[in-house]
Amino acid sequence: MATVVTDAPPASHRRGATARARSGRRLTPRKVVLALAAYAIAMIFVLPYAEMIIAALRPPRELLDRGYLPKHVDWSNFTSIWKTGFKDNLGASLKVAGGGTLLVLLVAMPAAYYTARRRFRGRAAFLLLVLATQMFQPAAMLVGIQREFISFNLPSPLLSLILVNAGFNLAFAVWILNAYFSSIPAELEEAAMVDGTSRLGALGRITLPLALPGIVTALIFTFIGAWNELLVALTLTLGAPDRQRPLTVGINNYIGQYSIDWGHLFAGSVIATLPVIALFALIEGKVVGGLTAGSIK
Amino acid sequence: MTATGTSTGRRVVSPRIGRRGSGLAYLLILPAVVVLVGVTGWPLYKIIMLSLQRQDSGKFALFHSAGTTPFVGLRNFTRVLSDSAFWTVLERTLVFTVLNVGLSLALGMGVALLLNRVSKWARVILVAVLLFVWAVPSTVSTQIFYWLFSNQYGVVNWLLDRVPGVHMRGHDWFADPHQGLAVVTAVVVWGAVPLIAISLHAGITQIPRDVLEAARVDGASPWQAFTRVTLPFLRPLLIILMTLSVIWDFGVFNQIWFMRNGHPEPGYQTVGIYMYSEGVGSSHYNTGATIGVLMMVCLLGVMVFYIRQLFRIGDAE
Repeated sequence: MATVVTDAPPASHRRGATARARSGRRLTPRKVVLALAAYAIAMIFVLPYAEMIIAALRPPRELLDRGYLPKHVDWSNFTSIWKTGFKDNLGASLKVAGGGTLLVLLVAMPAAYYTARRRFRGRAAFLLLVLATQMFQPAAMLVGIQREFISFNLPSPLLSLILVNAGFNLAFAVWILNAYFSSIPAELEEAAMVDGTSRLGALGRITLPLALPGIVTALIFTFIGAWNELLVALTLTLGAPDRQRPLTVGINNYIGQYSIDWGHLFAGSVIATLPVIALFALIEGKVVGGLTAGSIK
Repeated sequence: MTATGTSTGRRVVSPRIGRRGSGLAYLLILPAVVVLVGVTGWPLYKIIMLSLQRQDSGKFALFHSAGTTPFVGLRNFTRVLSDSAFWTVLERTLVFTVLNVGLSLALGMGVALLLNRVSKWARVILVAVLLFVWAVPSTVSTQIFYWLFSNQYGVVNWLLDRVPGVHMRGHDWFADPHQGLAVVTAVVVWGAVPLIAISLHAGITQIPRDVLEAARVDGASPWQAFTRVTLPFLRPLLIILMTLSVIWDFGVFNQIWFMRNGHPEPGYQTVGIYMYSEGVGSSHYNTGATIGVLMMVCLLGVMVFYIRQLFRIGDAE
């Protein structure tokens, strides 16, 4: 992989002089090489994941087989996993990631909108606070987080996890949303209001649709962040019953000290990826634009 | 706001509105501040306090000692800093961070440049794959790589073993922490490249074509065009990506934790793992808090750099 990718700039350097005629539709060797490189890289990225799906579908007896495709396809890992408490872990993860994302959007959107539209006293302080907390790592503050939520004594560790995930992803959401709202001219809203819409109507019909890529980016980041979070979940569910643990913690149940339940581990991992993939598929085109909004004009 | 503002009147109107609506401002911003300060500010205060208090180990101290533990000044810090284990871990973390950030950025840039040069079809497929990989949780990707590199079933050993003169059958990649951390690096980079490549690709498409064209007409080689035009243009984006990567890789936890099945050996400890096992794992909460504060200090320099850069970009807008 390393060779393929790092070759790209020097390759263009060498061939640069001869490949000037790239504007044409002709199939130059350069184009072929680049396309092959692109497909090769795509393969490198996707093969490990394919390997996992295949392993999850392998009957246990064939786990050691060297053939790339299993002789028999065995769905039992995907059916029997629901009897292992996996369902509760999945539910816990959905609650934590969904709740955290919802909280982030509810809290971040008004703040980001207002800071984008108005100058007010404390605006710079607020933005600085947002930026500073973006640098905070749950890892560094783990002991403090643990203390805090012990003293809160919330009825379920899932509530604590919703709060923590919202808190640590809020900064990014505010920042990206702020960039988006700033890029939408206030005149658009005012024009709509002159035409008789209320302020909220202008927000709902003009501003929010235009800011959708930013909202989607914030949503994706928060959801993935919360879905992936392990360290805080590990700490805050230390004494909690198994069903209150999110997937990242619960999946450890398939990993014993001496043996690993590969079938269930991989079936569970495949399922754990699905909500995130589904989310991506829904909003795919919006993400790429959203990423650069805050950095390059 | 009253609907008096025409597009030209806005500048006159808004200061008045701004003053009158300042109550609204705080109402809209307060929830965000409460969550930020509550979730990140309080723990920060807490670890600073804990790091200055006497080491009170045990679960009992965690639940019951509220403010009764005596302050001992910087004694926790001198203890942690005089422990050679801490410095070994810190050095390992720094090397790990530099390697991972460098590899992620270099490969991400390579893929981004490639994306901008290939035909539409290849680009669409590659972007789809990258988005897919980005969506795979790091916990999952770590399991995959652990499987690929496992000594009995691993496809990597099997493939390497087929190379003439290489005997890798049953080779245990995780017996030697250096090799094990190399595998961790593979997972981290595999997961980091998509975000970097896609962002840089989007950034490159925004470079005005005539600038690159002008460079070419002036006789710049593609390499010169890359270093003199593309790189400077991408600089703000690169700095943001680099800073975020540094912060993520410095605090790496999931990948190492899962790669070692929840029991990382000393040779695998980076600062995040070390803090967890010293602090939460063995109930030395004050030591854990002290290590946490030291982690924050390490990242402070990066933070200042990042904030300055972001504000510069904000000003330019």
